[in-house]
Amino acid sequence: MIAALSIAIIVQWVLLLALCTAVLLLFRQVGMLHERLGPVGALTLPGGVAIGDHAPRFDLAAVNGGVVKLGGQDIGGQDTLLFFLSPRCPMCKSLIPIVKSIARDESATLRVVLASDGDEGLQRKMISSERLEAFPLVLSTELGMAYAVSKLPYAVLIKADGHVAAKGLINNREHLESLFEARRSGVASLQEYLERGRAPLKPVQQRTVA
Amino acid sequence: MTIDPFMAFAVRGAFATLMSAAAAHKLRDASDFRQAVENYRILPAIAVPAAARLIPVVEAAAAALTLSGNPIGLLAIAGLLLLYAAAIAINLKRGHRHIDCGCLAFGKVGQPINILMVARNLLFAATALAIAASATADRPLTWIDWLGILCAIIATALLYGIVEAAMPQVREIKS
Repeated sequence: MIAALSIAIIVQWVLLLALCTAVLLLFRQVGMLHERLGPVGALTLPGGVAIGDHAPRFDLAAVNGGVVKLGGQDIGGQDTLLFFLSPRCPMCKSLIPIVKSIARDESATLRVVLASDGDEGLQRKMISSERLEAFPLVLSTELGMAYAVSKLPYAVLIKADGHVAAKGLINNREHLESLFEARRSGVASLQEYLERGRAPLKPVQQRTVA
Repeated sequence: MTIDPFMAFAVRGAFATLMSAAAAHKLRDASDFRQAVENYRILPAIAVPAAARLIPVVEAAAAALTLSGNPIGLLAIAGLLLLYAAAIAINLKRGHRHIDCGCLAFGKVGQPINILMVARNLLFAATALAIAASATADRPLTWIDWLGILCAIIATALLYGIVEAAMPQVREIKS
């Protein structure tokens, strides 16, 4: 009996020490991971309306009827998420559920506008197959050119006061959320975030803060 | 109050380990520690070098006294911990949040002072005082007690390390 208890106690101490060591190593590893992983966000392509600038004014007819006003003070006091997509872009389709979920989460303060161009028949097909009836879809090449959208899917977050809060190439949920994070923190890009404590450098590509 | 010698030895061992690790660290990076003491801005500038040299010596002496079973050792440790708690609290009150705490592992992680350190030191000091004030029961210790005491001291040190490693990450996630 005594021998059994002694052995049990020894084994438990050994296991406890091993467990503590493992947790300590784990936390150190996580700490190193934190250092290595900076904020990751959407890729801000050069050109187009700069972050912080006034969004250009557009009055565009939506495919489903009605007029969508972009730029300037928003009447409803809502921010606008301008999401550029195309029926021919498979990545855009994979992001549609994410856009919908963000639109739902932020429904009180956010208006989602979809933007595309090209064949209207294909667009209508996309609206019905992807169930996008809730969002206005505008077709305008000028809009894409104003924001210098060269790759899809691309998103621009315009504040209610008409300033561009963030923009970037969106490939996943984190990228899209990073636009909202950029709006919240007021830091437009990863470079700006890093440069707050360093000598400035001229970046070619910028990423929003996630 | 009477406590079991297992508890008394384990707590004493843990405090002695903490203090000797702290003293060793302060002696190794003496100039960093002098800077930390200066940044606290509690002592007049002229007293800083002497205090910076004296503190690790007192810590080491307190650790040795504690291990030898002298209750003065634990009282000295409690006194040091309360002193540190007061120094940190005064600087928090002044709004100097970004000074290096000068604690164990200071400089390496650049851990700034915070209110949890004051709470931690108060808790440790209370434990040290409680053990110092208690009589130890007269129970002969067997080898399994000694093994347990040793393992408990190592486990406490590891847990302390875990909390120290985890706290900056918790703060980072919150911010």
